[in-house]
Amino acid sequence: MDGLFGLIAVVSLIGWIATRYSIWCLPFIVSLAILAEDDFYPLSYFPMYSDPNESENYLYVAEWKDDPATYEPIPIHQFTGLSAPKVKKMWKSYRRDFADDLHKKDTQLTPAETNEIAGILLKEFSKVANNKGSQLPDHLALVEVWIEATEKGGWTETTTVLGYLPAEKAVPQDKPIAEPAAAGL
Amino acid sequence: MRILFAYVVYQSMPLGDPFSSGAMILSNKIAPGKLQEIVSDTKSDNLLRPPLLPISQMIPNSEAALTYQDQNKPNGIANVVNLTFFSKEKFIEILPWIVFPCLLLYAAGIGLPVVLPILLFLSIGSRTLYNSQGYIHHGYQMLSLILVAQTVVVLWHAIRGDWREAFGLRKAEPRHGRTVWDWMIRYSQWMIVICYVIAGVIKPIRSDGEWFKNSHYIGIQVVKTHRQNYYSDLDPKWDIPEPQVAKFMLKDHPNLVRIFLSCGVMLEIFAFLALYNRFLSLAIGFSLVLFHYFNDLMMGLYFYGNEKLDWIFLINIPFWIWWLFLRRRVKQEQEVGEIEPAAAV
Repeated sequence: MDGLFGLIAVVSLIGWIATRYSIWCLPFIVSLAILAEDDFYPLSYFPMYSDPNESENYLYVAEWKDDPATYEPIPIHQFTGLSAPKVKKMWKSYRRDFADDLHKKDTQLTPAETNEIAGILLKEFSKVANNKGSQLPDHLALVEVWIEATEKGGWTETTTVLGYLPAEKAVPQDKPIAEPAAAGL
Repeated sequence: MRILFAYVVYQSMPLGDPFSSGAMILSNKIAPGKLQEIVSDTKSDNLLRPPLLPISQMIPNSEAALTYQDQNKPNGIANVVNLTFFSKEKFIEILPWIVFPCLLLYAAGIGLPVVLPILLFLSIGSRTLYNSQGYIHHGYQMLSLILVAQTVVVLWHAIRGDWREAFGLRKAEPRHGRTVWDWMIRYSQWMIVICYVIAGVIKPIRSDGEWFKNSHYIGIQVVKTHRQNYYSDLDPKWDIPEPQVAKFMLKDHPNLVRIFLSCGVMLEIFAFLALYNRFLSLAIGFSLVLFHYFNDLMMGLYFYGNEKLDWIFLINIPFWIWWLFLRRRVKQEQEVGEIEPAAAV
């Protein structure tokens, strides 16, 4: 696919220069943006809602006190200026880079590696909060929820804890903790 | 048109206080607390919506100052340039002294070959730093692309055309039926429709052609958006176990939703037809504003910056006021609906 868009970009550029018709900028910039994905601002391929399917996830940050299994969500935006969508985008970005460093796909990461990335990200949130002049609680958890469509037109929500901060105080675990699904509709 | 665009560019600049709350400061001097009361209540803030934007988006507030001390996930030019100076206190202090003179000169049409590259660098630089923190925001790409287009056009005209015209030292004369301003507006319109076309064509590409079949699953995304809005601030307004829109999409009317959403994608893909003539520009521009409104309503997904640019460059209210009320008075004929030279060139 990249080759096709590269070809369209080159042909459009030649057409634009040769004919001076402004319409050539349309296929040229569209192809360039699709090739650039989201890596070269101001070009973007605007991927939002471009691949809808029966499951989707979101993340939130929670605080735990004595028992890591018992946690309460915190208003992360008020502490850091980062909204829940940004938390998810950062998670994806950190996970991808971590996997790249290990020369594997992000879907092949082990639960222990996932926990490690979650710890790194939670530390980053604390840093962002400090830069903003606020302070996050010491004991944090990064929680992921998967929403899945059911055949009857409803959905279920399954919660998993991706990792804790400080990790050493949290319960050691071989795999992320999954909670019972909450049913929608 | 250029005054309105300068205003939107001002709103996009990370000037920080007092400019990021400039409207509040001004209004508190005239009617203390009144504006705050309006914008903090969702209903009164959206009093003119649709078709206009929320009041909080129309008042003269700039963006907040950037506070990023590093660029851990560099994007675009951040791979070669350290842009963290946008967050330095000293730079934030001098930024208004750069931005305001540039915007005034831009609105006056003077010194564009110097002014536009500066505004372009500030726009791309600040937004690239913002996007270099591990998350990508899609609110200002269109505005930055318009600045890219205008900068290229004006520099091209300064080098290959008449530099005095480009600098505003002489009235712009048409060349091949178009002045430098016509070209700047035409390419700005192109940048707008191109952004929509990209967003439209990427959907069947990324979903392997299954977007139309699966589009009712956007109901799942609606649930996600509700949850994310809740967990950002633990705002009870968003604590809705079963969002009605999601239920409507997934269970009650999935086929109707497929048709409705597919119309939106078709509008994006064929947005370039807006450049055929002024009537289509008005119709498609207005449709895009409604498209944004429904996205906001259904999914809480808003692109106010893009809406503003649709109003300025596609709908173009000042032209229609002129066409309806002043055209005959100035005895200047301009057939609306006729193909303009720019569409053919």
